Amino acid sequence: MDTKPRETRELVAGQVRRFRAGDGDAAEPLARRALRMSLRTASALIRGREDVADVAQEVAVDVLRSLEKLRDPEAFDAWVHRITVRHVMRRLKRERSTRRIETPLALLDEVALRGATPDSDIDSRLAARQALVGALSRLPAKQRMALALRYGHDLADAEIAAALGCRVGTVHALLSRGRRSLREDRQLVEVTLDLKEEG
Amino acid sequence: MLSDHDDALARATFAPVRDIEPDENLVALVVAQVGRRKKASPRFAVAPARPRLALQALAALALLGVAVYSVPATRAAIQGAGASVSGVFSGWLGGDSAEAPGKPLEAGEKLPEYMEYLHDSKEPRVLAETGGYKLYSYIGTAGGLNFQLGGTGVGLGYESAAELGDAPLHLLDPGARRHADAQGHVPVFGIATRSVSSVELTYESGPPLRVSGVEGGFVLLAEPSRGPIEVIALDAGGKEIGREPINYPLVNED
Repeated sequence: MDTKPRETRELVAGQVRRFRAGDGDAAEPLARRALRMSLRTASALIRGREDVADVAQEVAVDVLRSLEKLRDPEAFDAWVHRITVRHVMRRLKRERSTRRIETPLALLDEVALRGATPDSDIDSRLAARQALVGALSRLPAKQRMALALRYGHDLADAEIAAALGCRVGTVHALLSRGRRSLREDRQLVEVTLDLKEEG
Repeated sequence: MLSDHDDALARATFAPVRDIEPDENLVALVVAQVGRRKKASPRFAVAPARPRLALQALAALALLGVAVYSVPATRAAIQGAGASVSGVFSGWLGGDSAEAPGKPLEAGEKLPEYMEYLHDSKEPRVLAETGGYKLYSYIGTAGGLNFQLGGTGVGLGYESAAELGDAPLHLLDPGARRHADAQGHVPVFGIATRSVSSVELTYESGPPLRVSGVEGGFVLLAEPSRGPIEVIALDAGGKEIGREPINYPLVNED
């Protein structure tokens, strides 16, 4: 299943072809798209907003510099996801080796507070963010990655499998276990229900 | 079985993630970094027609962010150290055979069959050989620079040496699993300046692979299972003068 609208894929594929042909103007939309995608994935897994931006930048540069290797220009998004997975997992391994404690979603402070004016709104959003951080921190990295690709990007199982380099059955298992863990996190359930009621 | 509640909970959990947008400074920085490097323009490929373009080391960082992000200088900005790899080939392409990198074919040595079909195989040189994988370079009849990644069926063509970039090393191809040898090693082909005397392939786990005696090119037998990270170029004194990340096994895994 391809979850992206046909016109979007064709638009991006056109930008890829223009970029390959040397059209410098095509670099910006492709860089923006790669950054957006990698930021959203990395933010669910990596501690520290600086590190998230750092990884996203690496991903975007890698993506644009390796576009000649992409055989199907319409597969740009899949290309970005695969490179993102690679960079994020590598960064996580480095964090573990340096005994740093992961605190995913660190950059969500700004997002959570954007548009939240009343004090109670800010409080509830910060509480939600804390609950999300706690819940995600307790999940294994691969489960978090699978969840981020599904719920951060609406990817289908086959697309997640392609990004992770695993079988579709493995993706089913990762998502299933991840969702179960989220369901069993009482604090997370409470704050997400509160947010839904507010929203 | 997936319940609607579980799905809704997970969706709500990740709702803030879907609102994240890149900062304009970050976009501009990436565009600037990418624009700093010329693109190669492979003109043909033998067998599987898959033009390749290598990656290059990342450049210096600046202030940026999704909100306001300050990126730490965690990546090496080593570009420009030493001579450029394009300079290795420019003299040869300009007609000076004394400047030719690598070594000529030995007496009686035959080109691979797939190269003999290319009638423009002028001045073929062997830049490196490891484990039966040979890296060939030759000048096309139209004057372009060509590489053959022996044993893989992949060829690359460049209109000029300048397209190789200004770094001390340049990865031509990160290989593919189907090119692996009997032990599962995958060849990684690259070219380097004369100031590079050895190269080191680093992994996510385990010791790096170091190859000495580099004379313009190298073939590294990478172990995909250990997660190859990048190739580091070292001078005669063991000092790092350049590095290039590799995407393997992200690309062309088929």
